[in-house]
Amino acid sequence: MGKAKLTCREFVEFLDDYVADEQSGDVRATFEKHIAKCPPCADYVRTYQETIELGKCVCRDGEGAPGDVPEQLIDAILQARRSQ
Amino acid sequence: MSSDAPVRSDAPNAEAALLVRLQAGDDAAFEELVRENAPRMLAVARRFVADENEAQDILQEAFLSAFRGIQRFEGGSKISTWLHRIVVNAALMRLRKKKRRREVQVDELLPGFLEDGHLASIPKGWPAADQRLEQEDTRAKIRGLIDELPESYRSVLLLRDIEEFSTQDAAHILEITPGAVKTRLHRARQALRALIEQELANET
Repeated sequence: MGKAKLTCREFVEFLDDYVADEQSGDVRATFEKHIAKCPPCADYVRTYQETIELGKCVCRDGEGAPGDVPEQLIDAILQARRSQ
Repeated sequence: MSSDAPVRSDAPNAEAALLVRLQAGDDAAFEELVRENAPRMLAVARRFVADENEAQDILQEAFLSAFRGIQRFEGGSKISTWLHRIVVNAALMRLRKKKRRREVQVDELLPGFLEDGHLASIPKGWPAADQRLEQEDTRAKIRGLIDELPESYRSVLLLRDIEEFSTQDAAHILEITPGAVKTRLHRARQALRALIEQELANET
């Protein structure tokens, strides 16, 4: 990935490293140059990043609210321990 | 689960004290452990399996496994981090035994390219995603889309993006190489992106 120019295919292929900020400075600069010049890839990276955020958001809805665990389940776990 | 609440300065001592009590077989310490951690751990189990009874079974199995292993736990991480991993392992073990429901073909959801390397179609995007997310049915649909991913991709997505395990830790848990984790994660995100795009386009 040391090229000065990228195709969209190369951009998408290594997009995960860009999003994770795991590229060297010059590779990252090449990606940013591509985003600036290529609206479809700019849209793609935006929606790729939003996908990650949407996933986190919907999967963590109401996570671990107190009182969410039935008392019977707590009792069953503690009872099972005593029988171990 | 790396987004822990700010840790009070006496928290490490309290944690160490709890571990001593657990390893001494103190009933009250076990109850404290369960009551403190069960809500978050049940939420983790629910992310892996949709059925509430199964999620509760996973929680129970995980705690029993933790009780059996408490003597070997050396306190190298927070107790909640150790428990989190046990719950994830219990959930994955259960998933391996299960027959999955309908799954999408990931390859069909990856972007296509022209011969010159340009994207073959323009991404449609989803300009009003934030507003739609306020609706519970949209959030439920997106959760449903994650569940349509093939299990080998869904597990990687859950471990890396939702449970926030490192690539190395996810690889260790799934018994695959870090390279395979990276590849599957990237493909899973791309497939989910395409599914969300289709879903939101259908709503307009």
